[in-house]
Amino acid sequence: MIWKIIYLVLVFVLGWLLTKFILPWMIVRIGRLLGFRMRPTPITARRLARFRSIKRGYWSFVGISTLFVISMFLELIVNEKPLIISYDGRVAVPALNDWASKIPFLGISSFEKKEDFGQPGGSEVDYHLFQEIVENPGLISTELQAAKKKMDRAERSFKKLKEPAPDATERKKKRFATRKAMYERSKAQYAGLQDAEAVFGAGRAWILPTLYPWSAKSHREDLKANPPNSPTLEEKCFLGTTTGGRDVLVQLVYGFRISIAFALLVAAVGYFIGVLVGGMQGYYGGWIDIASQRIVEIWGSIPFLFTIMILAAMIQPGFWMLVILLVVLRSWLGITFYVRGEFYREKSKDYVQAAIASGVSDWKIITKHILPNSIVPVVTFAPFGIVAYISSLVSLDYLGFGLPPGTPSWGDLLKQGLENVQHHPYLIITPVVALAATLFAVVMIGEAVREAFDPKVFSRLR
Amino acid sequence: MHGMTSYFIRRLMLVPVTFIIITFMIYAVFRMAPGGPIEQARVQMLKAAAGEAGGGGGESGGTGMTEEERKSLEEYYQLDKPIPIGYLVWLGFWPNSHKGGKLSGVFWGDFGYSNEHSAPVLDTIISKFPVSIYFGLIGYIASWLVCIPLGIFKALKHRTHFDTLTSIVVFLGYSVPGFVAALVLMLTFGTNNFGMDWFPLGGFRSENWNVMWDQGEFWWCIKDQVHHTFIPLIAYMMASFATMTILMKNSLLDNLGADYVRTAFAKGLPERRVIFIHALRNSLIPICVGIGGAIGLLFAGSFLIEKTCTIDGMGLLGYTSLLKRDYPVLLGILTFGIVLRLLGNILSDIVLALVDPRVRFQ
Amino acid sequence: MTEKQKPLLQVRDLRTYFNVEGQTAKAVDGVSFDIRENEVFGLVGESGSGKSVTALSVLRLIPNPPGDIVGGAIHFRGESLLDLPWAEMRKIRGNRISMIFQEPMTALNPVFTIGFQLIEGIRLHTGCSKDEAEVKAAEMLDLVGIPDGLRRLSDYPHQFSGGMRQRAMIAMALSLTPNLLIADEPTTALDVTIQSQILELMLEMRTKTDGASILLITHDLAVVAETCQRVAVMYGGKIQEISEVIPLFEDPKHPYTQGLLKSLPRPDQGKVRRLPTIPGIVPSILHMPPGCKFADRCPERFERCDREEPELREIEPGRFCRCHLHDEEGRS
Ligand SMILES: Nc1ncnc2c1ncn2[C@@H]1O[C@H](COP(=O)(O)OP(=O)(O)O)[C@@H](O)[C@H]1O
Ligand SMILES: [Mg+2]
Repeated sequence: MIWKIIYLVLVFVLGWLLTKFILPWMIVRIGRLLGFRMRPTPITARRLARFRSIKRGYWSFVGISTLFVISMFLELIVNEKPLIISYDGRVAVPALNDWASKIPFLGISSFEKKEDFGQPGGSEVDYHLFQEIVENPGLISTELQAAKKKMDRAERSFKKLKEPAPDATERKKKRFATRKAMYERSKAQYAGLQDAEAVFGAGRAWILPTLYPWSAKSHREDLKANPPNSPTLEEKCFLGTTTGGRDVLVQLVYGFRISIAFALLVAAVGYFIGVLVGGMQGYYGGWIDIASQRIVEIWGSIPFLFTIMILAAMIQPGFWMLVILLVVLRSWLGITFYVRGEFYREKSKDYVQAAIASGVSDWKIITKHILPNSIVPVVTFAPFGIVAYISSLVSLDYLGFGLPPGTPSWGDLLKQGLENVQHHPYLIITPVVALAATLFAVVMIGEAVREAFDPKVFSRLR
Repeated sequence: MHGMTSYFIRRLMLVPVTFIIITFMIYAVFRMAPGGPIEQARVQMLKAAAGEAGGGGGESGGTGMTEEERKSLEEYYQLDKPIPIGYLVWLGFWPNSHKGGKLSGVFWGDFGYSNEHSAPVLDTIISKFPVSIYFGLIGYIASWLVCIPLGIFKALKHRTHFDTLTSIVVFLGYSVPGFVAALVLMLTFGTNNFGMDWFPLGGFRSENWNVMWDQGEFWWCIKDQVHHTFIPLIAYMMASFATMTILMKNSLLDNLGADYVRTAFAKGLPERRVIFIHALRNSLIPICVGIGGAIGLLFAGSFLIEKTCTIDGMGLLGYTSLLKRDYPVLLGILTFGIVLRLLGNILSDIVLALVDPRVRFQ
Repeated sequence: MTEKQKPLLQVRDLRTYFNVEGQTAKAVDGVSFDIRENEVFGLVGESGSGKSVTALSVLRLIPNPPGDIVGGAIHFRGESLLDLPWAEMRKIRGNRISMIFQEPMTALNPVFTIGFQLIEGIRLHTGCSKDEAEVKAAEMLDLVGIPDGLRRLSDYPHQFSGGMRQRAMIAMALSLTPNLLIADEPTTALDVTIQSQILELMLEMRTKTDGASILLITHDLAVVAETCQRVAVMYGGKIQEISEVIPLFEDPKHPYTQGLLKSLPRPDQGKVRRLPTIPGIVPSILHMPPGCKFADRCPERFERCDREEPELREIEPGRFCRCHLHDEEGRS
């Protein structure tokens, strides 16, 4: 118990340190390497200071980003696979492997076979069973007895047969071979279990589970009642289970990571494209401007959620596909208008005109003089965009046209909540609280950013 | 005035162009996308062919579609023709071989036939209008009635406790999507979980509403209608509540800081007149312009809310059609949605020209 | 213009401060001057020196927050304006004291017609009928040189050019024959050709109506020379020099005034040469030097200037200057 609390505190402290100090430092470093001047202009510095002075926005920002950074290491915190498992001198770190396997485009796989850890069979180790046996080695003797019975039975039925003669029928030969194999397997299993008994009995096996040892895909088979289960403290199922018997808490935390990552990606890619398009419109003007504005208008009149649903019904998109769909159909559009205006304004200014007249290349003018100004609409838009994209993902999942089934998602929880609204209120309450709290925090950030960039005063005259 | 009329005529003429571009894209996607209706139809055809060879019936197994559906799809999408021709047939500018070589398509009011509903697509869609408009209109008017006064008040009380407190409510409203609010309301006031089972769990009216109406139980009917309206209405309001309130507030704040407000004060006008005549008139402009955008929601409903509250409007029709893969209806709904949006944009322009004398379109 | 004339407007030690992100910006810090009956009084200074704030303070049009009139007194025809209740103050605004602003583009409400905005003020103060007010408004438009006034009443501000808008503003300001007209850089935002027209119009209107006094704010000394009888030079929220116009141009006392005059293009110099501007920039209003506000840029600066702020003292009859060079100790 005390270990778990220390673990939890450590997670938050490390996450906070990483978010507050290490990551910003790294970003500045990388920025310098790429040749950006990473010192804010006086205006930017003033805006930053103003943002910091708006406490609810600033702390929402620190809070959400810390949680998101922590959630990047969720496999080490909430996972069925243990941090460390050791059996007879063989040590493995399944949780860490699991974490590494989730890094995209790396293709690391993680898998620990049963037989290597005192459990018969070749599939993934049953870590919960392993832990039970560690805690209570007596459990293994019942299994041992069962294995012995099985072995005896196999031995008897094998011994009944005689070694078939070389000219015996194929069928006979085959039957003999299978029984022999069966006997040998059960013998090996028994021997293995005997070894296991010795290892477990001697205390040469131990396991260090994660903070909350359940995974998004695992079922809470340890609970006595049938799913969906209400939250129980004594069975350590704090937020209950879904209709499928999965732990709601796990769904919630993994859902947080997916939602935020999704929204961030959609916003980042979309705004990148939006700035490019809007910049082109504003900088070149003329027919490029008119034509692309028409295109943006046409594109914007597509009912995007409905279209995504229809496409999703056809192609069953995964995470990346959904990101692309939302970027293409929505997120690049809104920002173009503002960036276009910004470019228009900046381009007409004297110093830019002077630079153009003196033959500085378009690319240089754009990146040096104009682009920094379009940071303003991007930064003020982003939080509200993120709210919208999280909502979109939740809506799609809720309607059943989002991420593939089995992916932890808040929308899916809400859907189950609707189906069980009469008897399982927690299935609505938990995702709603999580969603509302997250989005509220992001809105607070957005409001603070807006206030920092464009402080509104009510200057009263009488 | 003359210039403006011709501007709007030109804008209206752009609608068909835009419409054709978008619907053509959607049509093409429907025909080409893997797993789309055509792909499914082709799979069915292959199966059917194999089935006939094996002496089986036309009915395909399990999850697929029936022979009838396949036929109707094939007809609907003009499978035998290349995409542009098929599109022209759908649009109604190319003879439809399945209708005896006559012109018949969207342009002539023929959106096809829905087997799911055993009715023409157009009739199916139009039959859902009243319900969606009912909620959309009431929700929109209600949010005007709440948001405009609230926004004004917040602007005048900027940075007071009242402003901070209402801001929290507003931002909470912004962060909870309408359908989630509906879920929470249904859980709280629609079930007995908290002992407050006051409102029905969904539906537009009770089942026996029409019977009661015929029996002259008007009072009961009205009460029933109001009962059913409450939760979805709040959900609908949530959709625009926060944005509209904040828009109103910021717009009024901006205008109160404008030079002309100082001029008005310098004339000796009393504060009330300056705020409520001079500044307010200007700050209502962006709110009024929003009407155009709302028109889409008015007709198309919100499938999230309609699904959550089982209201049988356009939104739910879209959702169920998607579940049932009723592609003719889906294409019809999309078409309607796009037209409404395009008209909404123009309506916004018209409203802007009406409320802002500066705006003159050339 | 004898000394016996009672001042129409008397400003004493006016202090108007702004709160800028927690710091206090002393936009106007102890300004005193008089405006006499039937006089055109100029207020000159570089942009940011506090001229507009001074003018707005007279009408108590300081936005609050962030600004506030924290001290001083303003007497108008013997009445203390700063002590008037708001309702009484409103009766003076637009009626006895009116104001014309720098930006004719934004000073008029874009969604109401010129007529609406003219009539509104007339009816407010005279209580006459709508028709009467309309006749009066049309008359005023004609008077300020907008022909066909009655028809133009139904125009919106955006249908007017900048110069015409400023004319409409003048019509609005003078429609009730005020005793004092405050014109805050009325020509700065206009084309050069229009500028003199507007100035002439203002002076002409003064004779056509009841002979109001004018507080003319400008950063252009040439304008002052043409139009004003007396002038105050402002810098850093303080008045540096007050004088009759001719003595000021002939013998400027304050180094700042001298600098301003040097930067004037002279008609007798024929060719336009590059204007000598005063070197340096206006100090940030949040970080004013403790001594003389102009010390940083002053060619005559000596040790005492940084230490001690000079007083505004009468160095000749009717002539005030805020400079250590002109007190008893002088440069010592
Ligand atoms: N509303 C305001 N808020 C903050 N500071 C102001 C405001 N109005 C004026 N100031 C400050 O007061 C100083 C004087 O401004 P102003 O009187 O407008 O100068 P000018 O002489 O150009 O008319 C400026 O430095 C400006 O920063
Ligand atoms: Mg000024």
